[in-house]
Amino acid sequence: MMNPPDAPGSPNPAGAPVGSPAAASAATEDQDYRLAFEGSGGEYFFIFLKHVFLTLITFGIYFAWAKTERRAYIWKGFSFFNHPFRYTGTGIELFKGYMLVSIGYIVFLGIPALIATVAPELAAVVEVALFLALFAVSPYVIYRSRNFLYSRTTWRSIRFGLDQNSTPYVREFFNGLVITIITLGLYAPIYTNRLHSALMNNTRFGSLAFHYDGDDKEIWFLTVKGWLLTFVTFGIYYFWYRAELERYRAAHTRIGDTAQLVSTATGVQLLILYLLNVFGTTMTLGLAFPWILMYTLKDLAGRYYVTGYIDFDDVMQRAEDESAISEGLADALDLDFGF
Amino acid sequence: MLNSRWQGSFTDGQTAALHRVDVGFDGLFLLIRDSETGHEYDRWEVRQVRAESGSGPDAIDLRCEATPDAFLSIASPGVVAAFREIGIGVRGLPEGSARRAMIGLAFMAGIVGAASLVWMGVTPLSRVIAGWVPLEYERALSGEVEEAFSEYHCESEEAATVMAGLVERLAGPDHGLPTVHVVNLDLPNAFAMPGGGVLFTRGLLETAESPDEVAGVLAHEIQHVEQRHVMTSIVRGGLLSSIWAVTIGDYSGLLVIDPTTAFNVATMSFSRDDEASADQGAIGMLDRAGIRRDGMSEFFARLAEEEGDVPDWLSTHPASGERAEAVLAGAPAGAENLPPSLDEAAWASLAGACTDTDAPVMDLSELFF
Repeated sequence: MMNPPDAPGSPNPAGAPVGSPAAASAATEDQDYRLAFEGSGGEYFFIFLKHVFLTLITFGIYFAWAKTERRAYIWKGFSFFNHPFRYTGTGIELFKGYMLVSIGYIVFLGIPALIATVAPELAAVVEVALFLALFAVSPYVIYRSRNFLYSRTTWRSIRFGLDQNSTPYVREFFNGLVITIITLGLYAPIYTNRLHSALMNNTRFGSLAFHYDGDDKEIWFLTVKGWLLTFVTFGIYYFWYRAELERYRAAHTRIGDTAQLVSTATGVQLLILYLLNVFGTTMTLGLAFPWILMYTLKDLAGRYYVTGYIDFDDVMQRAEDESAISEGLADALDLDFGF
Repeated sequence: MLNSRWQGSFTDGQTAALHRVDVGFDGLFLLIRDSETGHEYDRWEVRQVRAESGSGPDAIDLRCEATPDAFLSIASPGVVAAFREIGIGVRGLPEGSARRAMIGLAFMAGIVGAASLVWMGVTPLSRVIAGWVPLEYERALSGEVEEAFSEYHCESEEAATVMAGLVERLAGPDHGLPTVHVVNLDLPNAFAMPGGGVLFTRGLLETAESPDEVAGVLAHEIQHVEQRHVMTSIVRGGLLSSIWAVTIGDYSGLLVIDPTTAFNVATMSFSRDDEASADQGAIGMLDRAGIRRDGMSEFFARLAEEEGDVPDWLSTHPASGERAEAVLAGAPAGAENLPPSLDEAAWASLAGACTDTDAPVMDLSELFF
């Protein structure tokens, strides 16, 4: 399959990597690189039982290793171009990160309590100042913790990651927030698009850069249409809106200069997934969650693929640069990503 | 000498190129060579090699400590056994389904056992921790809670004096307890507040049929304060939710059993222990103060009639019928001849504490929603 006709701003529509040895034959080497997920609900349930047991008898200490093992299982289940992803993080680094954050947290809680006993009239001011400080670091924490997760994710031994420069993301985080409040939420679709763009444009797979160029105006109309139709259809249209957004975002995501992300998500597909999640869990009192999660991930992987050409021989390793502290912080501030 | 050849795939950790390789042992080394050209990509010292299960029963993934980014995958029958033979154990091999079911059942049993231990241990531990928190600190923390109720205080000056006298009689002259207030609320109830305060409702004073009933309830609430039950339940709630968060938290996003409900049920049944213990302490206080226990037992008996069929385990208080009996058991001889704890005039001013009040009537829905 060739690049979709709407692949935006592609400098090289033929899909050939300029100046690479493969350039001459690249056009004929265009192909679809499939994403897939294989995982067993039974195995995941077993992992869940093991983790609950070990975490209980170790007074919670095992949770860092549990989190690591769970990620390793899920990461390994995903494959791209028939080759699995891997989670290379370790339990001990996660544990150390969480410990440091816990100590910081105690100090953080201790400061206002201490000030309340010494100078009660200052306590409220200090509390507000600390809250603002927490708020001010939250975009850094989001960025850094995501970078941690990426840097522990490898495919064919090559690490993912985010650029060290978090300024575009942080700037957009605060600017967009202010504008969204001033415009009573009308700016929100553009805000999320720009945050997504700031993250995606800083995403790397080794030396290979991701590019996202979703247009603010198009996203705004797509989203407002989605909101209105969702309202009119009593929520049913929401799944078609999510599917359209997913397809749009994928269609505007390039990997390197010659490959393109594609999503085939449909409204029906997302609706079925939602119904399965809701009824599957309620009717089994939650016990079916491992099987439902596995199905959900399989469905997710199945609706994405990459088309075009990637010269894997040219993708170079990147340095591992993120510590697990960011992950602990993200969890403490409730800014983590669910896994 | 190269023996035990396998086919595998190798990534060197420098680029994303995937190499088809031949793998074999050469003395103390694992040799990795290109299948077509014979080019030697790497030579791993066997003692530095770590193996884990790959995708499939006969597949293993290998890494070398010296080059941690490089990765070798081999899928071939017998490969696991061959590596074991030279002392490289393979981690994370999938268990057979029967064996996995057995281990899974063992984990379930272990979870039940460990959870029971936590269940039993968390209350004593919470008591110890609560004991470390100075009452003044608890009071500072709970200043806002008291503040929220202050506009509903409705007791007259006379009633306040009577109540203070009762408190002193029960808890002794140096009790150090904050003033007991009455709030303008119909619902008959009394609360021990964080920080040691006690609140009575107007409804309770109007429903009570004798001063001994009020004295009994007061003794019970003072016991909650002295035994630090409020702080204990705060600590217990914190401990239980932390345990929940670290064990199930990461999975519970997908679970439908609402964690909060589970906690509330747990906390309730724990607080039943606290209630029983407060009852026991209150009996001692009443006996020392020379106040009959009947008032307390009659009040509970009336509660029992009103509460109907709430299942025992869902109730925050022990079943009131049982409570009433327990209160009377072992009453000191001659106690039935004791005079009422307040004379008629004092009782009248306490029972009508809020008759002429200007305080607004408390709206519970406003407080909670």
